[in-house]
Amino acid sequence: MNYETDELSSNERQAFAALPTEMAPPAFLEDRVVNQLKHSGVIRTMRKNWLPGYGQLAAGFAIALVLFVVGVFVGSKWNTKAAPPEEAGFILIVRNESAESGPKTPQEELERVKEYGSWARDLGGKGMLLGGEKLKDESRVLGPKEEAYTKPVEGGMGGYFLLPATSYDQALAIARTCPHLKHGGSVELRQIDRF
Amino acid sequence: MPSQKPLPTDDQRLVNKFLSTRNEHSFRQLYRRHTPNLYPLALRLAGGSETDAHDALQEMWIRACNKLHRFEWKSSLRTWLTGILINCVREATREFQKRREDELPEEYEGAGVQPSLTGIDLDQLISRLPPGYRHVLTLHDIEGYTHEEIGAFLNINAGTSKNQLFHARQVLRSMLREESLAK
Repeated sequence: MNYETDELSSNERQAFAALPTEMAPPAFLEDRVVNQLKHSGVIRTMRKNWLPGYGQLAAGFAIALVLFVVGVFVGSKWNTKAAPPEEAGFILIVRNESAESGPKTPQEELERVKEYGSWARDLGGKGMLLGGEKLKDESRVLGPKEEAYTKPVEGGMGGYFLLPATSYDQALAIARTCPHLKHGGSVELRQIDRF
Repeated sequence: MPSQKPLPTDDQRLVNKFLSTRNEHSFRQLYRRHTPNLYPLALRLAGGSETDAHDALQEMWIRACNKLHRFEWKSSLRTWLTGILINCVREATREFQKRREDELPEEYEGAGVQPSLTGIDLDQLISRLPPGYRHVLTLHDIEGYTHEEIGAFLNINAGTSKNQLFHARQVLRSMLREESLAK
């Protein structure tokens, strides 16, 4: 037998035909490819759709300022331990996906800063706020078998506050007072799960 | 009778949409249409290495997107992507640099009694073939490409592809025979 006369037997043909020729790739791969294409400029990032125009940028700035004020205000209680303080029962996540939640003018922006600051001071004074931080708009994603890669944050978690609440009812009562809500933004509550 | 232009295929519509918008949604449509078929091929070409297969698929899409505007539709989009994928796997697979393609494993004993395929992990055996054999056998016996197409993919002539396939099958049969005896 040589390479001109070699043929697969029927069993061999069946065995090859039974091998899968379609298989779902891991979900993370699609995002990894998309992010790489965005990073290299092959895919256009639709900034108009998700990135804030003037209003949203101003809102982001306002939130950052508020969080800074909160940070200064509760700084004496906050420390640099890796774990949140033990009295923290819930995390309130400020979500940035709303396109309409930002102030429209510089004057409105200043008023927003005062409003958020007043809210934070009030909560801190009542012992209902333990700390908070703004998060940067970029993350590193690491899968179980992959190298870490950079992922731009498009919407989602823009900052967080730590609340000493002990139940969802208490936490929701605080969250409902957050001025971010009445400006069209949303907040999310997650209970800290301590073993 | 007025001449009618042929209707564009689904692939042509998706590619045109991507080229005109360059947006994420249109790329994801293309990705989801073709990657499920290319993923097992990438895994086999890469000898079962998921990391190499992922890297090769990512690089394939990057190269393809950069060259899509020059694609002339002389082959199907799937065949064109397969050609790019093969190059990416060959570059990503480190063993490709280290092992001689025409080197036969020591256990190769030539043709003999037809081994049994029952209960054998054929993919696992294929992954143990030398890269050159593995590529030709995967493309011909599993993916169904002709020796002329394989020659174009691998930059070899059709006769070399036939020769590689013959040896690949012989080595695989030898492995199968050993596996059958061991069971």
